[in-house]
Amino acid sequence: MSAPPRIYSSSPPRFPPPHSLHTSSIPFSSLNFGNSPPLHRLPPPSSNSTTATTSASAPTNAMEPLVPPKYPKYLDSSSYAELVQRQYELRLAAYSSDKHRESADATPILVNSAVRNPKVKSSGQPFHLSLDNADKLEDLDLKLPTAWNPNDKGHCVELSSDNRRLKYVGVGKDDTDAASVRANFPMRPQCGIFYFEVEIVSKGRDGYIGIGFCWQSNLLNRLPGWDDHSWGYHGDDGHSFCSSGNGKPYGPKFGTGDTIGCGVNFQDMSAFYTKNGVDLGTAFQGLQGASLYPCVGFRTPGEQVEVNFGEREFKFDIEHYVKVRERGKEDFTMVQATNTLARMQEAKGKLLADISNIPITESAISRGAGDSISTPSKAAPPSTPASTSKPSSPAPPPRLNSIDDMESSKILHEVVLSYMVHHGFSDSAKTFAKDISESRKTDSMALLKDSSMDTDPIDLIRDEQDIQQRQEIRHALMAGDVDKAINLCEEHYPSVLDDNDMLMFKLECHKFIELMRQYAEQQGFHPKLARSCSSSTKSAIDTYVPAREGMDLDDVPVPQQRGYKRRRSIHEEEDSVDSLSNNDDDEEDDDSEDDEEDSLDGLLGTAMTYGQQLQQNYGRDERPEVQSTLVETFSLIAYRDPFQSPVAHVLDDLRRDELVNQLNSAILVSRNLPGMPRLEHMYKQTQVAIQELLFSGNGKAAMMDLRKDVL
Amino acid sequence: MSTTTTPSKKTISKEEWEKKLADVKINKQDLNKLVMNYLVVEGYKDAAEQFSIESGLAPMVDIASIQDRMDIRRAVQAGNVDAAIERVNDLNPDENHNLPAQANLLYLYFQILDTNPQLFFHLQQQRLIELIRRGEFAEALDFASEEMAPRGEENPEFLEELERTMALMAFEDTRQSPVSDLLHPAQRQKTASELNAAILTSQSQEKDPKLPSLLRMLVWSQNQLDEQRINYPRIDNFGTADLVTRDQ
Repeated sequence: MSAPPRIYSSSPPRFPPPHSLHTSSIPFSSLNFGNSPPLHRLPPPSSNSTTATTSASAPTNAMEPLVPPKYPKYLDSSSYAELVQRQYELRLAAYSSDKHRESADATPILVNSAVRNPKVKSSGQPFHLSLDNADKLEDLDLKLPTAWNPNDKGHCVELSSDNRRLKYVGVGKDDTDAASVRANFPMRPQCGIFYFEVEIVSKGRDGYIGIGFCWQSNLLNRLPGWDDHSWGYHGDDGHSFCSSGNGKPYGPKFGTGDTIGCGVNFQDMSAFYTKNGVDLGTAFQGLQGASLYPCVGFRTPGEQVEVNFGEREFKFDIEHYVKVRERGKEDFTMVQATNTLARMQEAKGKLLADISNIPITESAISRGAGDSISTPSKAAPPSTPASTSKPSSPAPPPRLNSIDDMESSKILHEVVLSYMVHHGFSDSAKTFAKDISESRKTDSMALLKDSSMDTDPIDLIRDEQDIQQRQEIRHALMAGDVDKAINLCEEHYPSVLDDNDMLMFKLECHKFIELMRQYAEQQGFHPKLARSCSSSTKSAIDTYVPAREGMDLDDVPVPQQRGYKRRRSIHEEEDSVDSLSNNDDDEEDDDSEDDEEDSLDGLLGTAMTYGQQLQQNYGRDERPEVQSTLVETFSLIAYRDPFQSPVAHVLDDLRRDELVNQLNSAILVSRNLPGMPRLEHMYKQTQVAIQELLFSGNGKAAMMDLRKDVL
Repeated sequence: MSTTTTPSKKTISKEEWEKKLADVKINKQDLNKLVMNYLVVEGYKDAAEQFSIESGLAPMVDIASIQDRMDIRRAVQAGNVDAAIERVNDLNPDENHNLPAQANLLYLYFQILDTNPQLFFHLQQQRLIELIRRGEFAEALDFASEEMAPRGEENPEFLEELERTMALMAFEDTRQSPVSDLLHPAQRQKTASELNAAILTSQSQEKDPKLPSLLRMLVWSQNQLDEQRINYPRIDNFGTADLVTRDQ
């Protein structure tokens, strides 16, 4: 076993009891825990950290300016907003870790932790922004159209200095004199819906103005909509042009003073227009392409337009319906908003319906089956195969065939059962296995199917003893009995903790936390039921207890008198009664006080002795994770009510659960079993797949919210 | 959107993919809820109970109501529609005031009567089918004319379906008849599921468990990535959920 043994020393503790520190005014951050990093590097970095301030400021070199993302307000709740915000954070993190490294080189104090930090990137390069094949979110180009591109226009079009106003200055004799201009960036499918408006400043001679969008590859001596990969709505006749020289009647004509809006819905790949704030309905469906550029085209002299990509208020209230989508139906009046909202919901509903028809079978998930499944399913099969009469009901649930049903429930059963087995929920697993083997018998009788083909679900619980053992370990840890958990683990799975010294270390630290918890609870402190993060700051200040130099473990090995408080051993409990009652709010009732104080200091003594041992064993371990865990663990001492301290999270049940999971995983891995339940892996896989789809501009994926949709 | 815009094929290495997987945050409690939801909706009462104890997660419904729902569902599945309906029907709320779950069912029965005429008709139809199956033709005729025909008049679809069901009596060998599907166990399953869904809805539960949706989303998202010609480590089977990278 590589981790140091746990030793229960009976020597006097070198830790001062926390209440002896109450009145000290020395800032907590000046404490020194042997080789531990200075405390101000703990979250929250309340004060003084110089690195923190530099990282927040904008970079000064030639890098891409690192400013918070900006986008039109109606995108506030879109996947786009989320994505671009995460990208910003990632870039910020990359930037500050580069900075961190630089400062680490300069200040030797930080060398250890910084150099060892694997997250520090070796390159100090600016971000590489490429349009295609971006593998990482950091590198993904998410810039939205903000103006026309002066370098991407047909001849005879003049741009204003801000590149938003366009004027046609050609002769405009015939169609060969047409000229278009593309925006500087494409509309991103991640937006779900992208919307922009064009005001017709002047319709010129004939008002042959086309508003729409096209690919980057389209020629610009044409009007939008005339060619493949190009779509447009034309002012002279009000027709919509869908990749064709022949338009179709669509909306009203438009001319001087009108404002035409164009919205592309990437969720169902359709587009709609608005005129002066009124929705004109869907113009195009079945759009193609992941990079569609807003585009305006002219054909007769004097035509002039100005674009609004969201920097000003739109005529059409697109923001309103996005808000409405968030909040539900509250305050919902706009007709056009209803339409657009309905369009989005319809698209998502259709997608979910398609997905709900995907069979859960091995052949569906195995490779190569993709083609047959991704084609949207045909109309739901009628509930009755009879030809003499129509289906009985208007909305029968589509029935998969029963063989698929059987396979699907078998797969689901196994996913659930393996989840229970994984976590050592032994009773659940046994009960569930019994339940499903019964229902399987009923099913197969009902469906006239031979059940002997299936394995008995009970067989899935291969090693009941193993489940039971892991369950015991879980119980022990959840009850706060770390020793028992460790003992059980060493008894049943001897190699696990030997092979995972970090885990062993965490368990040992956790034991200290549990001791401190007991102590705090005996003192009458209890976990806050609803601890809100924001309000905890204030209470943390109230209960914040500055510690004092007595905490310096390394150079003060001998207990000695220090002012009016001194270090005490377990045998000096009586003294503590006074100091405690002095500092306490007299919450305990008087009768039991003496007894409580006795056991209380006993507990504290044990904790301190143990903590000292921990410090001895690991204090010189330079691994950053060890050091930061030690700091976090020991900082509990500084607070009178640890449940309300900034480190209260270590006392949370979630922390226990986390440890249980880590230990459980380690045990399973040591037995050559997966360290993660299938269910969890599938969830993560789906999440990452959707994320990748989003990166690659899949509009359908932009509609998905896995957490909301399945959790 | 499609093939025309697909950029050159992209490959994501296993290492890279696993890093992305590790970045996904998923709370164990959320997964527990997902499992609990499956157990409750699918009616695994005992397992739900144990799971609640072992995971420390409260079940989202009264455990006893799961049992009631399953009893009724099983009764229909076993062809015992009368028992299922009459059990509910015969309940006297005055005598059973201390049985909230059953009172609930009574309430449900009337609610179905009032708000879900389609389900109610299907239950009645199932009763009729069972009568015919047992060869009780006289009873079947009475039942059809007294209980079902009046409702059929309200709704032409019901009438049509009623006629189809009655046609069962016209065939010597129903297995060869065009209406043989009505006698198939799948018809019982269908009715049982419909009833089950209605009960869940009345208990403000979603009628479908969420776990299958997750598995379907997995299939869907992987297929979409395949279509975009992105090469990545995929899960090729539900049985082990191992990551497999295509060799190409």
